[in-house]
Formats: sequence, C-alpha cells, structure tokens
Amino acid sequence: MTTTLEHTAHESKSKAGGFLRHLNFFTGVITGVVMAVIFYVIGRVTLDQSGRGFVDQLTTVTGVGWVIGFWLGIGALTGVGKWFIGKDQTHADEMYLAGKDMGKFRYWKYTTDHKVVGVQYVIVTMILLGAGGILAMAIRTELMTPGNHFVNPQIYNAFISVHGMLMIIALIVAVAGPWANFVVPIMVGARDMAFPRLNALSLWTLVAAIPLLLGSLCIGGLSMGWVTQAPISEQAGPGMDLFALAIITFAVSTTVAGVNTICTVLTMRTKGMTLERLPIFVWASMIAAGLGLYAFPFFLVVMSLNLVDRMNGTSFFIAAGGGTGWLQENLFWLMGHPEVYVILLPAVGALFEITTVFSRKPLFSYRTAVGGMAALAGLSVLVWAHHMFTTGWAPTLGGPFMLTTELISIPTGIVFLCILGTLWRGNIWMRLPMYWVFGFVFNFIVGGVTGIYLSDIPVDNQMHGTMFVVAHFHYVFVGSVLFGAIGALAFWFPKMSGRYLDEKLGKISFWLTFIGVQVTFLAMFVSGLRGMPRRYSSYSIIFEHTNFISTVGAYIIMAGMLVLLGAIITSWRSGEASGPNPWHSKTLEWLVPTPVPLENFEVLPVITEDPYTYGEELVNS
Amino acid sequence: MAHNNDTKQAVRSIFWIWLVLTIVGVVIGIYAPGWLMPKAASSTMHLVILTVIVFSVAAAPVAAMVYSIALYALVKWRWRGEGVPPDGPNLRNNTPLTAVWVIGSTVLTIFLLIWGLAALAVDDGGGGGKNPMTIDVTGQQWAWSFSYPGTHVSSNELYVPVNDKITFDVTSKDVVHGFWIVQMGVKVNANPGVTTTVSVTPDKVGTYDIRCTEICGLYHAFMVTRVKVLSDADFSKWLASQPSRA
Amino acid sequence: MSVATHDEHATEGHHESPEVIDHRQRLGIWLFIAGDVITFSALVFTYLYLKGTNTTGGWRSIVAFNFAGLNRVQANDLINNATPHRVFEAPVATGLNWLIVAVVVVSAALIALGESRIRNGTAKSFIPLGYLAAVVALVAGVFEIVQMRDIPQYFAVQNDSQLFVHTAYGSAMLAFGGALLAHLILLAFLGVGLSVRTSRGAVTAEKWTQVRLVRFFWVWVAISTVVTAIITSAVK
Repeated sequence: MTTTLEHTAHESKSKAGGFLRHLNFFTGVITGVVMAVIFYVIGRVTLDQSGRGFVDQLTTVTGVGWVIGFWLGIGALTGVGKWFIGKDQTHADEMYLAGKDMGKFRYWKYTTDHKVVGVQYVIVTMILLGAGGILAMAIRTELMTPGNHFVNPQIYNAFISVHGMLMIIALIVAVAGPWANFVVPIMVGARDMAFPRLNALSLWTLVAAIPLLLGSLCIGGLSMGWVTQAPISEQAGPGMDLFALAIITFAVSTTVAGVNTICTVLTMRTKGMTLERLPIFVWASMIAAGLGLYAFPFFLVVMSLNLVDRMNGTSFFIAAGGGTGWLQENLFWLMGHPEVYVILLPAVGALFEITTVFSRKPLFSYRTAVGGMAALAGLSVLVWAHHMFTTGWAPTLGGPFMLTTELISIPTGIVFLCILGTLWRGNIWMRLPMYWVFGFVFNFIVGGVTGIYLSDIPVDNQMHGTMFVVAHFHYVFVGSVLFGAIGALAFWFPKMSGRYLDEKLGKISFWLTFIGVQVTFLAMFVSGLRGMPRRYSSYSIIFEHTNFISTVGAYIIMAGMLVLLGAIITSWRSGEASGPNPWHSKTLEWLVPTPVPLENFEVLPVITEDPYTYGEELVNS
Repeated sequence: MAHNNDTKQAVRSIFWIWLVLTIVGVVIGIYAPGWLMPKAASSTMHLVILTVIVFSVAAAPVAAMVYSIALYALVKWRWRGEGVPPDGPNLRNNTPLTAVWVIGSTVLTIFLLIWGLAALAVDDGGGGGKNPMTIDVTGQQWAWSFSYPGTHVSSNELYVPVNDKITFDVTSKDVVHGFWIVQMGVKVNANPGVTTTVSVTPDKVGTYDIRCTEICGLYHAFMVTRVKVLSDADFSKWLASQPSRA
Repeated sequence: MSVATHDEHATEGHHESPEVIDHRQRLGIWLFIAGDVITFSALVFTYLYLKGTNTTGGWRSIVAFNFAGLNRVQANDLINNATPHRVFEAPVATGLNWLIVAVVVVSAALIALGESRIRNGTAKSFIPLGYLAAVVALVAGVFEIVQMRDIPQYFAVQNDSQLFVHTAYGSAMLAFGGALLAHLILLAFLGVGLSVRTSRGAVTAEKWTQVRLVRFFWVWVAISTVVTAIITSAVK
C-alpha cells in the first residue's frame, strides 16, 4: 500500500488512530459495566421508588448505561465526537481503524475493514447459535417426558422466550452478517463497504445486545414467548425490560447494516458491474437489506411501546386503559413476517451461488430469480395478519390475507425452478457445500408445503398455536436457512481462512444434522397434528412417544453441530490449504488473493460480462 | 444431437421416479391425516381434516417433481471424475419452461385459494339445530369458566348438547388465552377487554379436550379442561342439577 | 468473470472524488430517513388504531380517579373517599400543537438559509444560523415537554391492584412527543456540530455537502411534525 505518502508533518506528531489506539473490546466491556453501575446508582437515587414502574425503569436505565458505556469504551462514539468538534479523521487514522498492520488483535477492536467485520460476524453468529442451541437442548430435555422434571415452568418459559429470540437474531445475521460483509464488497469490486465505520457500529451494537438478551434470562420472569404478546409481556418480570432493550439495540444494528449494504451495492460497483451482471448473492443481500429497513422500525416501535407501558403507565396494550393487545400483534407481525424473508433471502442467494459453481452451469433464469426474490420481499409485507387468524381481530380480512399468503408459493416455486434448472444436466461436483444445497431442497419443500396448510383459515384454526406450527417454521429456519448458512460457510470458508473446511467432518455433520432434523421435526408434526399446543412445559401422556422421538432427534442435531464446530476449529488452524480459488468460481471474490489484501484490489477490475459464463466455450466452438 | 437424447432419457426416468413418489405421497396424504389427527366431533373438524387431505394430495405431485429431479441429478449427473468437473451446457434460460412453471404454480395457488374461500364460506359453525345457544367463556390464569346466559349456571368444565349450534362469546380477565376445542377444530383467542366469537355444532356425544394455545404465564401448560357433549335429555338434566350462582 | 484492467484506475480507487462520496452519503441519509419514516408511520398507525378500536371505551376516557393538579395527600383523600368514575380527558391544545410545528419549521428554514449562504460562498455566516437553528429546535423541545406534561395521568383501580395509567389517547400523544423530542435533541446536536465545524474550517464553501445532508433530515422532521399536527387535530 502506498498510503504512507499521506502522512504530513503534523500528523506524524500524534500516532494514527489517536485515542482509539487504547480502545478495544475489553475496554468496551469494562466501560459498559462501569456505566451500567453508574446509571444504576443514579437511577436508584433519582427515580421515584414508590412508583409502580420503578423496577422496570431502573432495569432499563441500567441496560441503557451498558449500551452507551460499551459504545464509548470500544470507540463507537469517538468518530461522532471528533465530527462534533470539527477534527475529522485523517487518512492515516482511517487506515489504523481498518486494522492496517495490526495483526490478530484487530479482531478485538472497532475495526472497519469489512473482512474483519465478516470474521467477527462468524464468531458472533456461532456464539448466538451456541447459546440458543443450549437452550433448545434444555427445552427438548424438559419435553422428553410428560410433566415438569428438568426445569420448572417459570424457567421453561424464560428458556423458550430467549431461545426464540436468540435464534431469530442468529439467523438474521447468519448469512447477511458474515457474507454480505465479507463477500459482497469484493463481489461488486469495491475496496470496502460504503460506510466502514457504520459497518463496525452494526457489528458491535449487535454484540452489545447479546449480554442484555442473556441477562434477561437471569433476572427472570420472562413469561411471554419471543413474540412478547401483550398483555402477558406487561406482566412479565424485569427480564422483559432487558429483552425489549436488546431488541431495540438489535433493530438499530440491523438498520445501520441494511443501509450500508444497499449503499455498497448501489454506489460502490466497479466499472462495468451493471445491475444485470451482479452475482445473485448480491441481489439477495440487497433485497433482504431493503426489506429489513422496512421491517425493523416496527420491531423498534413495538418494543419501545411495550417498555413505556411497563415503565411509565401508558396504555398502548392494556385494555383497562383503552389499549389493545391486537395493536401489539399487528405491529409485531408487520415486522415479523418480512423478517422471515430477511432471514431466508440471503441464504437462498448463497445457495444459488453454490449451485452454479458446483454444477458448472450458469444460474438458470437469472432474471426470474431476481424477480422471484423481489416478489417474495414485496408480498411478505402484505401477509402479516396470517399470524393473527385466530386472534379474533378483523375476521373479514381473513380472505385477503389468505390470498396474499398463498400467492407467496409462486415466487417460492421460482426458487426451486432456479436451483433445479441449474442442476439440470450439469456436472455436479459433490463437495461439502453441495450437500447442504440438496439438504435445503429436501427440507424447504417440507417447510413450504406445511406452510400452505397453515395459510388456509379453517386448517389454521385447528393448527395455530400447536407444535405443527413449531415444526413448520423449524423446517424453514433450521432445515432451510441454517442449511443455507452452513453451505455458505463451507463455500466461503477457504476465502476467509485460506483452508478448506474439513470435508470428512463436514459430511458427518451434514448427515447427523439432516437426519436429526427429519427425526425431530417430523415427530413434532405428529405431536401437533394430534393436538399438542406449543410452549407447553408439560403435556398429556398421549404425546409421550412423539416428544421422546423429537428429543432424540434434537440430540442428533446437537451432535451434528458439535462435529461442525470441531470441523471449523480444526480446519481454521490446520486445514488443507485451498489457494485463492479452490472451486474455480468466476465471481470476483475468488479472483483476488487469499488472504484478501486490506483494500481488496491492487487495481480495480473492469467487468465485461457476468460471472455465469460456464460452458460458453462449448457454445462458441 | 447427443444431449437431446440425454434430455429425453432424463425426462423419461424422472417421470417414473415422479410417478412412484407421487403415488406414495398421495397414499400418505389420503390416509395419514385421518390417522394422526383427532377423531372429528364436529362438521368443522371434518372439513379441516378433508382440507388437509386435499392439500396433501395436491402437494404430492409438486413435491415429488422437485424430489425426482433432485434425485436424478444427484445420481446421474454427479461428477465422478477427478478434480474440477468440466463446464456443463450453457443453459441460461428456457422461457417456455419458466412460463409453464410459473403458470402451473399460479393455477395450483388459485385452486388452493378457491378451496380455502369455499371452506371458509361453508364453515359457519354447522347447522342450526333445534335450540342454538350461546355460552360465555372466560379465560383467567389458569382456568376456564363457562357460564350459560339466562340460567345463572357456571362451570369449569364445558357441557354442551349434541347437534345444536353453540356460539362461544370468549373473553379474558387478565392476559390473552387461546380457546381451543381440539376435536372440533375451533379456536379463538380470549382477549382482555373485548369479546370474540366462534361457533360450532358438536355432532358426536363424548368427552373432548379444551387446551389453551396462547402462552399465558406460569401454568399455561395446565390450562386444560374437558368438554362433555351430551344428548339433549342429559344436557337438560345436567343444567337443572347445577346450583345457581346468581 | 472476465476482467480487463486499465492503469488509469489505479489512482482513482484510493481517492474517490467528493462528488462520488457525496452521492453515496446522500443515498445513505435517504435510506436512514426512509427507516425513520417507517418508524413514524408505525406511531401514526398506533394512534389511529387505538382511536379506531377504542377498547372498553377508553380512547379518551377511563374509569379512574382524576388526580390532576392534586398533591399526594389530596390524591390519597380522593382515593379513600370517592369511588372511581369515568373520567373524560380533554384533547391536548391544538394551538400548542401548531406552535410546535411553527417553531420546528422555523428551525428547518434557518438551516436551509444557512446552507444557501454556504453554497453562495459565505461559509462563516452559517455559524450563527446553525447555532440559532439548534436553539430554536430546543425551544420546540421545551414546548413539547410542556405539552407532554399537560397529558394527565390517572389513578386507576383494576383487579384489586392500583396503578397510574394514561388513557390510550394520552399514551399515543406521549409516543409522538417522545419521538419528536429525541429527534429535536439529535437535530440540535447536528446544528451545533455543523456550526462548530464551520468555525474550525471543516465545513467550507467547497465542503458544504454535510449541511445538505443535515438539512434533508431536518426538513423531514419538520414534515413529520406537520403530519402529526394534522392527524392529532383532525382525529381526536
């Protein structure tokens, strides 16, 4: 790099980075804890202790203290402060922030380099999945037998609430976090994301939300499930305050990340990278980011209203004061359904990418694929009330919402068309990423078909709130999205680490997970069909066998995940070296060296055709 | 040309796999729902089970098609050589195929929608019976109470006469509960501050289950009770035997 | 992917032109504003939904003790000696609503004026305008606090538990007020920051595009107050 030319005499007096040199994750945690304590003390002194909302106010204030302290301590607010006093960062400062010549420690800092952020997102996703997975195992262990044996109902309710939210957050970032950050800027031929500091902000804001979410478990009384349905969420213990605050923090993180992704794709493309030549994963990431920008403000609002209801005696969701729980449900599902596609689309995009490379064929019907994903995004904002068919809210709207919901099966069919069309007469190279593609195809059919039953109102009147619904969305989230996320990990792992993800362990992990998913959730379908409601900590003896089978299946999934974790760790440290382009792919991220240099490209490339030119020599010859 | 034969061969094989899978799917779709779901105790539930069967049968060929193509690709088009496979054919699009696929799924969707709307129209809680009645249902952490308007009778278990249309006026004293009669296919939430309504005509004497389907706190899993469907005579007897709680 | 490289781009990449950066930042700010519009729409939805549902007749009335203006002792007397009754709540003063609108619009106009001054080449004349706009925004915030304090809280007894509650109307008004207050504080921060930056030479007649970004956001906040005032005046 030639950036040292930038140094002027006065800059060399103070080292690049300035105060930020002293800040990292650990100072962030320390400052966060200190600020939380300070806010707690201030709250105790100043707040009205006799008031009904005192505990909630105190909890919220403490949580806010943690977030602000963490931001301060890691350096998220340093740039804002410098802007305010008119001392902008120099180029040398920016290079320091990007982690230039810093070595491994840059992963612990507020580093702006998108590749560092991508790696950090991998770690954060794994932590979230791990925590959520432990809770899932606890839930399944409790449900292994009828009756409450393993945990009491109060802890059980807290576990299902936090399990749900952790996994939703984990899957929202599972593909979009690591790969929209690591890969998308290189794919479009950019040196970094559009707003590198916002990129770091989105990552570390997400990190700040994790202790809040896990902390909400510890101060108990989470009795509401992840949908935080009111007024049970008004009644829940102070854990709900941290839960809501965690989601507000997360909504900020996602909004920031979404703006960044869209701006990167729309304004950072290199010369010749027209929208029609974009790799399909870039499209998927951008559409998902745009959808998230629509969805997450509702999340922020619904949680804020819940919080002020609890703290300040407002009546948004309290019937006695003129509010209604239906408002909470509407706002929540206005977020909740688009969010499903925020989760799904990046995974689908990654699977498209994998399918073309490993079939050695162009993506079948590129424009239809883009249109299908856009249609999924567009329709998903119009279907929210299908979560509310049995709430009694506006029964006359049932028909229209049934229509919009069933229309979604058309673009979903397009997803299958594009994958199968790409496989058609290809030379299918069954490396590890491809296993997860086939797993996805199998599971997503099951998840999709069972979704059609639920879209039908008379059937939904029977199935809503049962284990059938739980099995349905786990087929979508675990069977499809998680499979996509692991496929993406296996696919891009060589680019990130320079090594293959161990094929042998990876395939063992695949078969364990695949079989585990079938065992767990097929049995869960049966539990639901036979009439077992969800979120039951104890159940009638007639559901005994299917629940036992589901628990066994869940342990198999856990084994698969542990093998995958082992594969990741061993491969990262001592896997087989892969070289820059092990899969002989044609997208840009494979054409730069591994490890990817700080600013990605020595010389920005000029694009003359799209990356799906497989087999063109055959046509031309 | 060589790959035309390839394609023909593939289509033929895939068709046979598809046919087998479809038959298996249709058989499962016809028998599994009736076997796995609770025995119906109302016309509404009969309709629900019928709808599940119809949707399963309609979905079987679609799922079978995806599975058969994927399976064929996995077995026949798998690269068994060393190293990176050579490029496949440069098939970027096939407009007629895409059109057929999209139109086909649209037709199927329209069928599902028409079925759904028709089912919704038919499903008005069944016939009127001789004396349709209304029962007030109140959810409260963590029990149900049922009161019979005009009688001052209330109970923690539900007693209803057979073959009469029962309308439930459902509300809650505290948080949201889900009122679900498992074997009758009716469910509506009990919301505080408002009353929601659902109707059903029980058509079989017997004892059935009521379970709460919206998480309502500590003992959500224990908010279960029974509904006893009695003959008209038995129901009148029961009603008369209840102490009035006016 | 076939890639051709041209040497002239080697210098281009590391130093992007100000126009390119400005274009990107403008898109970014528009996207953030879009997110903010959704947030605001959710609040409008909340307001109209609560009005439309009017659960238990509680939109602007409540079964409670009205202890507005009473001290703690008087409130206790009221609770002990009177039975709860349905209290009807007056809507907030429309005049104050529109006063807040006027003040926010003035602050937006000041920033817009400052921006035009900078673009005409007199950067230094932005400094007082930026500070003034921030102060005016804070004045609007003070009015907003006055309005929020005017929204009464009631002492209700429900299911044997005693609670302070707002009516649904009061709650929705507080949500509008709280959101606006947060925005006004942010605007004041941005206004002061721009003035400081101008006096330090970080914003000049050549480097003025940040002022436009802030102005976009400021104008949007002004528009949101107008929409709020229209809705809360028309639907009460």
